[in-house]
Amino acid sequence: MEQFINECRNTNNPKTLKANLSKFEEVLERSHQNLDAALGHLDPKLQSLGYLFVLNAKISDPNKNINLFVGQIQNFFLTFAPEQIKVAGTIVCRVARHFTEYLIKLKLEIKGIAPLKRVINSLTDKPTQLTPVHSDFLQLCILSKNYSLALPVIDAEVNEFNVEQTQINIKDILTYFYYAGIIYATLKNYKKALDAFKFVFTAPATALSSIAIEAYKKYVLIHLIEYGVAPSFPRITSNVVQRNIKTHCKPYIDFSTTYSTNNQVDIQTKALQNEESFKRDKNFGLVNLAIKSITRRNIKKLTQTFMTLSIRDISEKVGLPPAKTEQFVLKMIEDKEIFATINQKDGMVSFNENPEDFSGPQTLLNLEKHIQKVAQLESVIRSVDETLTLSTPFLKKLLNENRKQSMFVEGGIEMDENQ
Amino acid sequence: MDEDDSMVIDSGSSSNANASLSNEFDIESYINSYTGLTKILRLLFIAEYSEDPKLKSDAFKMAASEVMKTSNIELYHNIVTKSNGLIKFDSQWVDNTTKKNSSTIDKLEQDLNVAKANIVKDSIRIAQSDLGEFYYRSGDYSNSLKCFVRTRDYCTSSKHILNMCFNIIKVGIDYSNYSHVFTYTTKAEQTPDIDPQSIAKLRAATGLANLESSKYKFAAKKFIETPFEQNASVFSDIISPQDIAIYGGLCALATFDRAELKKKVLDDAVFRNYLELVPEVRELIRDFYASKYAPCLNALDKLKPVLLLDIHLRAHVDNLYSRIRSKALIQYISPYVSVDLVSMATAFNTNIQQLEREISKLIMDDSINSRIDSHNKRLYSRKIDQRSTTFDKSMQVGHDFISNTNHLLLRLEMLNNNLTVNNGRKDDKHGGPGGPFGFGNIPMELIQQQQQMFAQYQR
Repeated sequence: MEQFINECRNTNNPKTLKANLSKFEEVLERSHQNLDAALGHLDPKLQSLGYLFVLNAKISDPNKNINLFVGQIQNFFLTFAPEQIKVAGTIVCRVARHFTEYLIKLKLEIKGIAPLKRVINSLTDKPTQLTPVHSDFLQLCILSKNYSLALPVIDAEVNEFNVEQTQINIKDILTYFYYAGIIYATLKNYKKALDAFKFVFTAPATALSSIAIEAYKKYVLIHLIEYGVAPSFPRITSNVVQRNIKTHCKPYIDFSTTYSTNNQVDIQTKALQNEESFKRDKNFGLVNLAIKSITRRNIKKLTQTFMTLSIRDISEKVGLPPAKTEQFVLKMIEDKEIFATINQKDGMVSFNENPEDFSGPQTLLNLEKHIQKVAQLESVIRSVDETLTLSTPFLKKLLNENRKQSMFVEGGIEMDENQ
Repeated sequence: MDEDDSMVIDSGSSSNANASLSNEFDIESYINSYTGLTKILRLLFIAEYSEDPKLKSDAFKMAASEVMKTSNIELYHNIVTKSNGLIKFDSQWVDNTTKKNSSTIDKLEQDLNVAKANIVKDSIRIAQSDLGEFYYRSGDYSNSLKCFVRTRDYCTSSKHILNMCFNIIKVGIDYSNYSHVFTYTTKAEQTPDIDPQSIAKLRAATGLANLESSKYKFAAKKFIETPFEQNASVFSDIISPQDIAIYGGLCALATFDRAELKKKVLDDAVFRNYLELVPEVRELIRDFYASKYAPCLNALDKLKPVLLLDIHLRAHVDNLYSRIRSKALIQYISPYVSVDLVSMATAFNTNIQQLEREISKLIMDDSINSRIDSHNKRLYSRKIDQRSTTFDKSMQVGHDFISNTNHLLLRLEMLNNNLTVNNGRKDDKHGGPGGPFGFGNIPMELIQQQQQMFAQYQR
């Protein structure tokens, strides 16, 4: 044990230190009772790597004080030196995963948000990189209902990960997008939620995963809320998923077919028929939102059809009591879903066109941002393309194909000559 | 000059409309333009759907007497049961006919066997065709079709082929199997040196098949292309010339735009001949073209009860009518920036609420681009700000592109690292970095996807 601590104190290069410390792993696992003492001898900021190894060993200690352990990890995550722990990404991720589990068990999810955020920032070189910790972080955000705290992370639009550093696996990726979808959905950013859920069930697959099924259920409902029609599979969806997923979410498919008929009464009864399974999946709220969105969409359609319309006519056309209709319209105006003014004197609503005329600095700024993003993406794509075209297997394949072709041509000529 | 013309005829049209095709439906003259099975079927149809008791019983009686001229026992049974006791069941006729039928079949089959034994192509064809004809007359649809199709192998001249095609088309139409009609009309049209009478018959049959499958525009075109035939008996076992005018006129009204209506219907030298047979239809098309919607719609309403008794049109009347009406509304609105709903309602013979509902339906399915001012009862055409919509759209496309590309990159990375959803075992282990395959394992599909992505870029 002393040797271990000395090693921690004396070696400065993180890489060599990690190599050296790895030899101690077994020793640490065997001496559970000394681990807390070891932690006392180490400074989480200066000897981050050593501290991390001890924490990692402590996970397997069946007799540890969980509260204390969680505190230790939390403290460590908030103070460690990023350049040291970067070399031990896998271990950090393992500790973070267990940290998350303990927090959920203790119902102290909110405590983990700031520490994990720091872990994510230190493990990644760019915000577009994905780590296993991402999904833990989102899980904590959801459980503690701090949805907006997750936004900076999920808005970053990840497009790469570092397998060697973090040993990220497929489950981490899928749950990350699943959680991201949930967060967007709760924040009512349905378009992004759809994007996120879509990724889950269109991910490359040779088998159907239950994450994909759950994501697809939510995808169907949110698609109904946003567009009012049942979704179709994107072209890249793997065959296994397309063929099998529907049998696993029958109530949802039924509901979406009924929904497309636009018959409010039928839709209501269908929703109630399947209430149990919707509630079991915790999707009943989305179902209700989907039903509500019919009225919204109808009112929206009315704004495109009429310039003025009395509240009475509106309520007749969408099938709501007049008092409720006025509230509904008011709410939609406030949400900037429609642009209208209500004249309470004669009960008329005048609908206006969207005042947004896409001029002024805000639009320019938006455009600029978009263009920048695309430009960044382009450089990424170029580099990916370069690696791909320079990779040995690709070149080999190209060479083979060329050879095949030239052989074919030669063969053809020979045939001609024979004739 | 054209205007004057239509004005003069316009004044006469109201009295004219009551003459031949009016509420007083003259079943006798109507049914005499048909022959063969379709005559009986049409009579039965009228008997079934007519609400006028006298017409009903007349139709049943005529159908029964017609069917007794043939050997179709099944149809006879059918008529007797449907007439609810109006027609007395003639068991003697049935017995006689059954006997006669079986002996005829024996004879015909024997003929066929003899012909087959002698291996004379033409006599086999004739025997086969006779048998088919007999089955057709006695109501055995599938057997007659079988026999007619079999004659195909023994056709030696284009006349034979045409003959076979017409037989099959006839069976197809009478037993509502329109896919056969399509196939064999195309086949018949390809035969060399086809005579104008056959062309007329073929066009009419194709038009009918298109009408039945709700392809109104094609139906209209085919009916209009039908060469005029003085001798109505050419296609009287399928359709009457009056029918061609009505079917063609209504389909054209429902689907053609104004220019087409003028050029292809009103000014068409051939189709005009047909229209002369049914002046009501000609008048209402003219009214429609001259934007006199109220008389046009009135005339349509007057025609409706008769059209509902038509075996082919009944299922499509409502559909065609609503299309014509929507088209009239759209045409009425098109030249104006703002329209007074009150005057529009009078022009269309309806009240404002009804009109508002119709118009709002049209706006919702994007047929017209305007908005209703329900307060002042006016309709304003809507100017779309192209710039805003373009901005809106391009922002959306940009956003979609970025998110798609990001997801694609991530997919690529996942495949590169062998990180895919697969069966159990590998799922809970960490997918090995790179795996033994590295890039070699990238499916071709992915490379293609990447190439597509680049193509998008360059655009």
